[in-house]
Amino acid sequence: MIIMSILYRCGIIISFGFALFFGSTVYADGVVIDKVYHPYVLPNEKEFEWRLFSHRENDNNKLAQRIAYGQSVKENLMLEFYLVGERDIDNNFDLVAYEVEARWMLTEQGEYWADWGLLFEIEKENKQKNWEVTSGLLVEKEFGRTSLTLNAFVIYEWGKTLKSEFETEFRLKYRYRYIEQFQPAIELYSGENYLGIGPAFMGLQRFSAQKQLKWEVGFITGLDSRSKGHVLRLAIEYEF
Amino acid sequence: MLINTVLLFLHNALPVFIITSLLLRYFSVNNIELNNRKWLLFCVFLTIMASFFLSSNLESLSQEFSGKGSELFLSVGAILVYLSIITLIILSNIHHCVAVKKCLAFITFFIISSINGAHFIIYLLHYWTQAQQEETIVVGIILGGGICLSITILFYFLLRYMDKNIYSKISGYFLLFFALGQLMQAIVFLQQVDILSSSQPVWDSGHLIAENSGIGQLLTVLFGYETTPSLLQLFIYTVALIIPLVCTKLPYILLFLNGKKS
Repeated sequence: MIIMSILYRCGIIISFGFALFFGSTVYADGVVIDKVYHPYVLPNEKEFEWRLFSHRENDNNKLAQRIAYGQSVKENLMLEFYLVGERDIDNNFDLVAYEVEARWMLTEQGEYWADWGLLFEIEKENKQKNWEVTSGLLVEKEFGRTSLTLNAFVIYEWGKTLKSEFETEFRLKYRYRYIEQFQPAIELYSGENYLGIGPAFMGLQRFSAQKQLKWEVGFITGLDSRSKGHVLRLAIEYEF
Repeated sequence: MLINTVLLFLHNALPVFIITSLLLRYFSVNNIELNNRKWLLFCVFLTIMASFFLSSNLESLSQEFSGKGSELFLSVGAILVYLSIITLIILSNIHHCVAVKKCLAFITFFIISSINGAHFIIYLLHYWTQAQQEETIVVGIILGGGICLSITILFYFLLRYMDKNIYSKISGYFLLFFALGQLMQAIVFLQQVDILSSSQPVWDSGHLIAENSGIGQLLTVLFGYETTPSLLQLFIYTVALIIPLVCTKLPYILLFLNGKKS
């Protein structure tokens, strides 16, 4: 049993290291900046989520939105369904993709040195008939009043307009839990020919029972010559 | 439009938020309490009024002094900020003069906020009349404000951490570098109107960190980063850095010299 536990942990560390290593060497074709996921699932959790991304490169502004509904199907497993819309160059807003996501909480909060979770995602682009399968590791560690959240993803994509390939992405968030309603953070996104960093903040307002409203805002700036421009991301989530 | 408003907010409001963190840290290190809320609110109100007044008069100001008015005005403001901050740093060794320190801190905050605030209002009104998307601009201001507040809180606690764990006067040095940044801006303005000569740049670090990039802007605010500094700028930067440092160490230098003589 002890050996199994050690092997399990080694597996997680190796896969995490693998993703980190390749995160800086393999690049892909989609949007890197999305959201830094926390490895937590609440039992009987239901949620509506809206995410907005505004990308500015030179004088060009791109806009994407995601609407999602999620529900925990087990006390440590959550399923979420997304509709992804994007504004094209003619300013027309259209549904471009849909997505199913599963978030699996591996350990209870505070049970081990860090909290661990897994994420699996399947996305299909509507018109191009492209597919994307993502699996990744979610880790969160608390240091006093600060929290470090790491996401490492391995992505496989294929389709009509995409070269079949593996990609990796790495996301990091260092958060200062100032007050529940306002938690400033620094976020870093790497992968897909992109490296970006920027300030962010998140917060939540609790209502009766399990009802709560969460918000997240981030302003990510491309760090190197390959990743110019700024991305503003906004997420609002209502859990009930 | 949303991201443009956030960018505008970051560009103009970041110095205000950074100086707020630095001054709050200065008060905390020097054990000065800011318990008079009415006075604080009055200062903020005065700064907002000055921003609106300046925004409506900046255009006519630019016509003064043969078209050099706004550059001269902005450079005088930046030099005053530098002088106020170095006086604050020199006075940090003296435990009384609380009222003087508060007054100098207010002058610093007032000048930076009213100048940046005026620019923000001018650009915002320009956007507003062009875009006619009021709700997007309002949301952009709220998000930009949140991002700036996030930077302020993180920067404040980073300074506090460094003061406690690395060197107790590190936030004071950040304040000094901020003042140098203001002085560099003043030199650029004076070079623009040919009061100071603008010679060939000593180096060009634009390919490493561009001045208009996010990191470049932050470095410009924090340390007076310049991609193409002239020899004059480098000379003034060095002298302006050394003078306050020597002044703060003057009692120790005098003590050392007296000790040697005896």
